[in-house]
Amino acid sequence: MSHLPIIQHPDAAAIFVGNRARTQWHDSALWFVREKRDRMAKSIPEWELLRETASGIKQHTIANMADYLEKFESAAIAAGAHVHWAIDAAEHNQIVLSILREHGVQRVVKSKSMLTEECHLNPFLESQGIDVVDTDLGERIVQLRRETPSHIVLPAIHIKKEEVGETFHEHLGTAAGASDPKYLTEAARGHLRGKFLAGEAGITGVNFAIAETGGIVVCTNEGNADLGASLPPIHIASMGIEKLIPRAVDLAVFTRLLARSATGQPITTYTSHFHGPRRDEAGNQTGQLHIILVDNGRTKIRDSDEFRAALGCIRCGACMNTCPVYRRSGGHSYSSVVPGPIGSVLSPVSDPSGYKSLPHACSLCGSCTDVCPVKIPLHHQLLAWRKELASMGLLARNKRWAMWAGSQLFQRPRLFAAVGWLGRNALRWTPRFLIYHRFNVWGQQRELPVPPQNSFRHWWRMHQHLTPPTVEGLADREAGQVRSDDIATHAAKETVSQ
Amino acid sequence: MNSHDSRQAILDRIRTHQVEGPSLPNIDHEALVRYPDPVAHFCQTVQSVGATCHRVSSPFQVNEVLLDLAPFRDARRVASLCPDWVTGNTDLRMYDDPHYLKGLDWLIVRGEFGVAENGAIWIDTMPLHHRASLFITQYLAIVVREQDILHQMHAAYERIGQGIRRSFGLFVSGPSKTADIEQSLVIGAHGCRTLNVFVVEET
Repeated sequence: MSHLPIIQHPDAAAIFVGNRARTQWHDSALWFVREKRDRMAKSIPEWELLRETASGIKQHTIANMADYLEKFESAAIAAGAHVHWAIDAAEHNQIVLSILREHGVQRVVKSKSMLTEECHLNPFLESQGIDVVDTDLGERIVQLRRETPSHIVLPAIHIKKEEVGETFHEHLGTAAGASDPKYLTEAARGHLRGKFLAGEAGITGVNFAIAETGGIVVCTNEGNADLGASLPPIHIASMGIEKLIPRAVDLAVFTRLLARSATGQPITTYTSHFHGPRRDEAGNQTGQLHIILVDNGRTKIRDSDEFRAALGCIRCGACMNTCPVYRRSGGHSYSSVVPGPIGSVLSPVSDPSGYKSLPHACSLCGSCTDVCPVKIPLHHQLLAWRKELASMGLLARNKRWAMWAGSQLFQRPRLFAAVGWLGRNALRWTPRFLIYHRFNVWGQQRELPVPPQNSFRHWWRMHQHLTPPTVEGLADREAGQVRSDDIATHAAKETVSQ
Repeated sequence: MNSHDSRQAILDRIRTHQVEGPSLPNIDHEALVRYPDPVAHFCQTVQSVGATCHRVSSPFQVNEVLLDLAPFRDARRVASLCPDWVTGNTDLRMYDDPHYLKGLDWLIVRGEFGVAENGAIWIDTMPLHHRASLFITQYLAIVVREQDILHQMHAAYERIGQGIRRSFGLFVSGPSKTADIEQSLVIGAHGCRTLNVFVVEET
């Protein structure tokens, strides 16, 4: 992989965060999706069993990946598909190009595929003189604006309808100033119908690949992937090798989890199962299906005991929708194809130096881990990455210095007490301009807390003679009878009286 | 590197690093949701995903209900895979190339079965001749029998069984839709503009 510029998440997020109204709008748009997800998850009594099972299926498949890949390949070939293998993005793109060249294809219609984004397929094909149209509405908006998706499921979540209106006015000739989503969607429908009918090949991603049957499954709402894979005779499906599942019955688990976790729908509108090429009523082949199996760093993730579970990701985006950092900093601040918690785990594998700031764009609240449908321990992995980056010498200088200072402090109780006293008093008496300035990032866009009068150690000395809560005491408290000598009660009084 | 070398390289890379994994889990069907009235739940879910659900006692009522809909009365090209109940004027097998279907207004098909938990209907596309017809048609209607409503997806995949290997099959749950502009739900993205589902009581 080529060396990318180093991404500093805080700097990249600064512009987005600077616009308070937009940040709040973005935050609430994603929280709306998160709430829909919660309602859907709660409608299924066996939700946790599904997550547990999905996690088990993925772990099992990742462990036995070579066998399942071979099984998938032979079943897919038996069904009439062509199977290609690509070790990296460059090889993937070359394979796509050679299929297109072989059939003299000039115009391609493409549905949403994070893998092709990861491989930067569009710019590559364009450089080879091939016209590529993204047909997912959100992706088309982003493509016309010459941007990249900011979310893996909702590519245009960062764009306002007025901005979509301007883009469509310029490119599709919609009325100036029009911003009604229904009107704009109808315009895109008309525009893209023409593209679908003119397309000579369709490229789709893959949500699941069934080792047992050699089939692939694509889940969409708009119907764009199906039009692209059904109108032109050539269908190219690109998939990461981690998309495998062993059996068709395993799809029941994943189709129940995917859309509920992603957008809060009970299932996507279309869940399409492709086994081999297009056929007519009599079973005669009327097209071609090419499946490209791509590694591009996935086997490297599999090698790592710490991060292997991240390969189970089904790209639902639930971890982004719930992430307090993602919701407020926007997807582009991650400068990686997959943003949010899962992106912050996956991106540094390919380029630890380039993406070293991403595992720090996290408060370790653990919400991502709680919503992940395949139970990837995301926040544990983000913490593990920080350790890894430190051991690789990739910690930023200010973090390295702070860690060193912290270590000195915690080793010396007297120094710790002295610095505590200094901090409590300094925060109280120092003039504002000495605290709130551009060098103190902790004082930017927030007020620092009011320091307590005394240290915890002081508080402890004052209270340690009190009876600790007994088992009976705790039972009483649960029953609503708070004992007067309960430490917690005293502590509460103390706080109030200050 | 050619694709064959890459194949070997990927498989070798995986095999040189042995990983312990759990055995393949099977879900306990006893633990799965069952609805007291799956047909009623199915109809309710179909409505909630943006389709219109009609419960009819006989398949011969389908045509009557459709004739109440202006887009059906005004339709110029109608393809029906249920000719006994709804008469079409377009034979999908007449065309070699699906591009000729671009003017298709209505398509009426049979659903193999429906799923109560998510309103999805399984469609075997082989009789359609062109699978594109399902997505290119402006309006779609699916007829499914009451006795073919299943509780959840586990029952669905069990029922499909080896039939899944037949070229192309899919679940349809509601009309095509998008919320890509500011999370505003718009029905009728690239596929059908509306979906009418008929649940027939009579066997």
